[in-house]
This record gives sequence, structure tokens and C-alpha cells, in this order.
Amino acid sequence: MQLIQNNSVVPKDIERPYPNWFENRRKQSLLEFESLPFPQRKNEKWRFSSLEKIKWDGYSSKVQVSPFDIEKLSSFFPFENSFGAIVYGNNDLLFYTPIPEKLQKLGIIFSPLNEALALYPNLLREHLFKETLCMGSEKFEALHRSKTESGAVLYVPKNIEIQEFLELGFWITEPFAAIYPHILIVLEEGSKAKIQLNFRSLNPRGGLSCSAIESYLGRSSFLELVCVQQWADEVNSFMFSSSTVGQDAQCTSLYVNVGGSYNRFEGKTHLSGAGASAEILSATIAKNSQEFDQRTLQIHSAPYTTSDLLFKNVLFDSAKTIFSGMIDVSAEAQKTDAYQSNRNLILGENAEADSLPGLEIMADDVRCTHGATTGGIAKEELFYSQQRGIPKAVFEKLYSIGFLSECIQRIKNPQVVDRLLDFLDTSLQI
Amino acid sequence: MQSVKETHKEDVININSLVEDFFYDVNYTYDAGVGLNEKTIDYICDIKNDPDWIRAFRKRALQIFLQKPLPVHWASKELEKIDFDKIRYYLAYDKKAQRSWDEVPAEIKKTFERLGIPEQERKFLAGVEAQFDSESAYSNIKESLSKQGVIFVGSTEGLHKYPEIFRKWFAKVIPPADNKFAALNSAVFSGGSFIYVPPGVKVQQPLQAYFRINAESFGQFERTLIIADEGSEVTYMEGCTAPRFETSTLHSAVVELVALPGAKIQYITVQNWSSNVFNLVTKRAIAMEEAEVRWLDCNIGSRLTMKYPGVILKGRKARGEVLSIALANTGQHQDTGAKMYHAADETSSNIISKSISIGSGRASYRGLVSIPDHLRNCKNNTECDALLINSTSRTDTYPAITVMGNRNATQHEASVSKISAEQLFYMQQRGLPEDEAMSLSVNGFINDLVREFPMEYSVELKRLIDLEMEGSVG
Repeated sequence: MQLIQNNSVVPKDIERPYPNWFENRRKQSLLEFESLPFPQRKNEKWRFSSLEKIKWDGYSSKVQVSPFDIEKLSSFFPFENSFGAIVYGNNDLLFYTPIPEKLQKLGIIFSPLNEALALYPNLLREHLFKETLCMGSEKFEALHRSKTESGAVLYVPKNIEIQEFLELGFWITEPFAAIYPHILIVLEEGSKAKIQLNFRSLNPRGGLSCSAIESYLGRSSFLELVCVQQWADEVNSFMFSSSTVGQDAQCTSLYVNVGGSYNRFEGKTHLSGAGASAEILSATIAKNSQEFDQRTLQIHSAPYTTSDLLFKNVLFDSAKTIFSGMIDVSAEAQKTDAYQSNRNLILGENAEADSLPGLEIMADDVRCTHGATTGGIAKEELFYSQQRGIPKAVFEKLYSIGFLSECIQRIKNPQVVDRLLDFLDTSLQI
Repeated sequence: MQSVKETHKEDVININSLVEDFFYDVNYTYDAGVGLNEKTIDYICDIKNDPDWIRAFRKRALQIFLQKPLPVHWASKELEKIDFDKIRYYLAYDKKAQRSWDEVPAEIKKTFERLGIPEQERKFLAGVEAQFDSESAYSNIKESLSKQGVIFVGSTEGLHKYPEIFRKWFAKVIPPADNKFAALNSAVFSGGSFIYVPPGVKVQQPLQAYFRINAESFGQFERTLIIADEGSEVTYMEGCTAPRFETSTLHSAVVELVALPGAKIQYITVQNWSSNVFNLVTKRAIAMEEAEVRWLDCNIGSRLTMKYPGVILKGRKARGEVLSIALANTGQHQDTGAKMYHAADETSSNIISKSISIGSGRASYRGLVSIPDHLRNCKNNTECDALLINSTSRTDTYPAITVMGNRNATQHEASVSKISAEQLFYMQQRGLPEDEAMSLSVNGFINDLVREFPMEYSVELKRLIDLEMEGSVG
């Protein structure tokens, strides 16, 4: 398949204005952003967060990508093998490979956000911004809504299956660029889709990302979502993820994180239909003084629902991770089976791991458990490896990959697994 | 033949309904009146003949109490229902504890006789203190221990008679500014125990305090300070009851434990408050090198309990442990947990918490474990298990674990479940009615913790749990 540069079906001149409801929502969100206070550490939802690390000033959402950088970015993606891909540089759509025509004819929509706003107003009006997380970042969620214009929409009609991974890329090309991508996924009854998101930097310094992933899974549908974050060192990143999983639907999401300075992830998984199930996975490598602030919420509001969360972090140097998770089981959600696990491997003498796994259970006939462990490599194991001539740094790298691979291996696609393990290997270069 | 349940019912009725939920009218000699201000503090100080530094301490604490907001951003909104202006902060028949039961005023003695305290003392205790509202009515310790230098008196007596030991540690583990209720206690504290165990002395039998709230709209603010000197050992047990009143009652104690190098302190609490008591207690220990502190905590009853016993592991190889059982019935919230602050190398801590929620009761575990990065080889293990009995029961778990550095380790596990249907079926197949099967299962759930309590307490605990379980089936 050929690489198509900015092949949006919507001509440039009709991209604006956006529909009234969308513009109104953005204006209303801007007012919300301005009226809401900045978070404070004494707020339980910001407990342990290093707010002073977040740099807010000096960003612009209007930073254009230079032709030179566009050329550079094109070399990063193997578009010839791509099944469908959308790539943004800052907030500009750079590359767009539509899905094959035969799939388009089946009613599948995979398009940039602005195109979808123009072509599928009813679909977007029904779903876009429907869910807000309210997990502490209300102010920044409002900021996201008020500024978003990049992003993508994936819609799969009833009983249609997409076998291949669709790809989305979001690049920050300048240290003062701010991006606000929004990814909306709607799967109708019995449909299946896989999607991979890549967040990366072209410059080695900063930027601001305030992104959101909103997914709705209809009855018996299936979604596999892989999100790889590889920001430059000084990027501040907020990601809001919301999944509503309907009856007998299955959702697997994996977040692999290695970059950024302060990274806050807020993820809500709502098991809203009987028999719904979700796997929420995260593998993070935290180095230097990076901070990964992870907040999750597993809501069970229907019977016979299952959720399994596994967040694994490897911490080097003086990095910090915060995991605050909650399993919330309502009185109606009998026969719930929920699990939540946070495992931290500390390899840095000054690293810090904070774990706040939580349960709020209102139904009695349930099985809900959580676990959290934090520790380093046992002296005996290190001794054993050194006895066999493996240098400490190499052993730590191998150990870390082994530790994180438990999350990666849960993805069913061997090629994706291999690619992610290679990615971890590269990220842990000695 | 009488069924197991019927036998239990008889015992239970004897233990609880008739034994604890009663009160006798007492003509109090001392009453600070309703509400809290500097005059209340002066009244308490005058009656107790407090030294000037305590008067100043109380007044400073009052200012902190007035300034500090209620912790409602994370705690139960129920706290807002406490009307501090309607509480009586000091109420006593006599301000002096008697050394013999015969000298205890008849009105008060009959309360403790009905609760069985004198018999317990004769049977298996090394010393007893019985507090009635604000003051100790009785305080005694075995002569042999007294000769070895063990001190076991009320906190006022400790303050007056042993100021050099008392002042050194008083409010050092829990300063008044620690939280609003510690400040309140520091302002109006009265009663509680002061224990000092000299170096190397091992107190074989437990010392016991019994706290009884008898009056309506009353606040009990006992203050306990236990110091186990180098290499000594002591076990302290406290029991608490109050009758049911129309209005709410406040119990806000502060308990400070100091385990000096190599010492061992075991602090056992069995609380069976009536359902109108707000039980808001601050309990913390400091453990020096190779010292060990164990909190064994059983919370039954009360409208809201907020209690998180903690240990500051300050000396190398110090060890802290919290084993707790909470039972929340309809209209109750047991917000309990544990805090472990590791502050020295090779310290270890263990938390095991089990809760049972019955009816629309709510049990919460709230925990804190902290290990800073300069420490080496520190370990923590936390296990929380919650059992839900009815479809309207609720449970929560809110731990916070901070580990810094790569040479320390923690593990935390929590689970929530109901009683296994297979287990119930198995027992019913063998002829046990459902409620008895349920009761047995609950006792099985907490059995490994109950065994840690002294036998006399563990028997009573099981009976209390049976009582709370009554009517929970269906």
C-alpha cells in the first residue's frame, strides 16, 4: 500500500468551521478549564504527585511541522505494510493511509477526527466527550476538550471483524508544542478491532501532551488496544482513557511507557454489561527523575463481570512511580471477579514507588482481590548471575525485560509482542 | 438435647444484652458541664491539681483542636454529625482510684461487678484499672510486680507521682498537632493508664484496663502511656463498653507506647461499644533497637470507629505488628487499619487485618507503610481479608505503600469474598442449620487471629461475633 500524505477526504477549505455543537462544547470546556483550580497535593487524588514537576507555560498548539521534519517522520513508519494509519505532527495531520476500500464499503470508519466531524456528525455527537473521568484531572480534561482537533475515529459496524492492527502516531516536533489528540473508538455488537497508538517526540526535549482515548464496546465486541509512549525527556504528558464495556464484550488494553518527565495516566474501565471483561495492562520503565503517576478505576456495575489489571514498573536512578487503583463494585454487580495488581521493581537507590491499591465493594457475592509488591533484585539472584559472568547492568536489563514481559505477553499477536519486547530492549540500552 | 445455637444464645444474652447494655444512675460529684472552652480546661486542671506545664499543654492543644478542620476529605461524613458543643468533657464520681474493690463506691462497683472485672482480676490478671467515665475508680497491681518496680496507675497519678519518667515520653509519640482528635484528647484527657516496666522485668500475666462510659452525651478521653524499659516485657489489655443511649457518645483516646531497646509490648484491645459511640482513637508506638510492639485489635460495635494503630520502627531490627479484626453491623462503619513507619535498617512489620460486614455494615481498611531510601533490608507484609455476609454489606480497602531505594521490600494482598456456598452446603448436609453454619464459617475466617488473643478474650470474642451474626442470614 502506498504512503499517502495528508490524504484527507475533507478538502482543507471546509475543515472549518466545526459543527456548532462541537464548537460550543469547546467553548464551554475552556470556561470550565479557566474556572477550575489547579490541583493540590493535599487532594487525595493527587496524593504523592510531584505537582512542581509539571511545566504549564510556554506551549503553543499552533506549532507547524517543518517540511524537513515531515520528511524525517515519513521514514519512521513502515506504511507499505500498513493496513490503515494516521499520523500527526503536533496538531497537523501529516500522513493518512485509509483502510482498504472493501472494508470501507462494509461501513467501517477509520478517519482523522476533523474529517469524521464533517462526515459523520451524528456518530460523533452521540459519543464524543460522553465520558469524563473526574479522577483528579478535571481541569486538564476540560483543557483537552477545549483544544482538541487532532485525533482519530474508529467505528466498526455490527459483526464486522478487523484482523490487522490499525496504527495511529502522534509526534511532538518542537519543545514548545502542545498536542491534544482525541481517539474515539466505537464497536458495535459482535465486532472486533485492534489498534496501536504511538506517542513520540522528534526533538530530544520537551512539549505538552494532553490526550484522551474514549472507547465504547457494544455487546460481544472485542477490542485490543496497544499504546506505546516514548516521549522525550522533558515532555509533560496527561492521558485520559475511558472504556465502556458492554454485555459479553472484551477489552484488552496495554500501555507501554518509557518517556516523559511527568506522566499522568488516568484510566477508567466501566464494565457496564453482564459478562463484560477487561484486561488493563501497563509496563513502564522509569529512569532518571521521571515520574509516572498512574490512576485507575475499575467499575463493575453489572453481574458476572471480570476485570484484571496488572501494572508493572521498573524504576532506575531517582525515578518515581505512583499507582493508585480502585475496584468499585456496585450492589448490582454480583458474581464479579476483579483483580488488581501493582508490581514495582526498584533498581535505583533513590527511586520511589508508591502504591495505593483500593477496593470499594458493595455486592456480597464477589471475588475481588488486589496485590502490590515493591522490592529490588534479591542479592542471591545477583550473586548467581555474576558468578556466571553476567555483568550487573546486563543482568538488570535482562531481569527488567523478563519482569515486564508478563504484561506484553498477554497481547495475542506474536508480531506485536516481538516488536514491543525489542522496543523494551532498545529502551534499556546499556 | 440443646442445639449449639441455643447454648450460645444463652451465653450471649448473659454476656452482652444484659451484662453490658445497662446503666445505673450515678450522682456525679464533678461535672465540667456541656461544651468546651478554656474554662472547661481550667475546671479539669483545678480538680486534678495539674501542674502548670500540663495546664499550658492542655490550652495549647485546645487552640490546635479549634484550628484543625475535621478530616472529611477522606474520612466519613459521619464525623460532621458530632456536635462538640453538646458533649460533657469531664464527669467523675471520685477523682481518686481505689486500691481495693471494697473501697470503690457501691454505685460504681456494681457496674464492674456486673461486667465481671473483679473475677477476671482474681483469675488471671497481674493488675487492673477500671475507669468509669472520666476517672479510674479502681487501680491495683500485684504486690510482687510492684516490688520489682513495675508502675501501673492512672495517667493523673502517673503524672503526679512519677513526673521524671512521665514527662520524658508524654506526647512525644503522638503530639497534640497530630490530628484533630489527638488535639482534643490532649486538651481534656483524663483517666487512662500509665505503665512503666523497669529494665529486664518480664510481666508474665497481662495488665488490664476496663473503660466504661456510663453517662449520656459524654466524651471519654483517656490517655495511656506505656514505657517498657530495656529488655522488659509487658502485655496490656483493654476492654471497653458503653450502654445504648438516644444521643451519641464520643470516645477519643490517645495511646502512646514506648518500647526501649530489646523490650516487648503487646497491646490488646477488645472493644464492644454500643452503636451510638463515635470511637476516634489515636494509637502509636515507638520501637527502639530490637524492640517489638504488637497491637492486637478487635473492634465490635460503635457507630463509627476510626483507628489506625501504628509503629514507628526507630531502632535497628525493631519489629512492629498489627493484627486486627473488625466487625461492622448495620448502621456501623469500622474504619480501621494500621500504619508502619520504618525509620531504621533491618526493621520489619506485619499487618494482618480481617473484617466482616453484616447487614448494611461497612468495614474499611486504611493503611500506611513507609520506607525511606536511606534504609536497608526493611520488610513489610500486609494482608487484608474482608468477608461480606449480606447483599447490602460493604467493604473498602485503602492502603498507601511508599518504598524508596532498592534494598527494601513490601508486599500487600487484599481479598474480598463471601462465605463459600460449598462450605455452607457441606455443613448443612451434616445437619447444621444455615445460621449456625454461617457462624462457624465466620469463626473459621478469623480463627487464626482470634488464637493470638489470650484464651479468656478469645472465647468472649467468638461469643460476641456469634451475637452480632444473629439474624444476619436471609
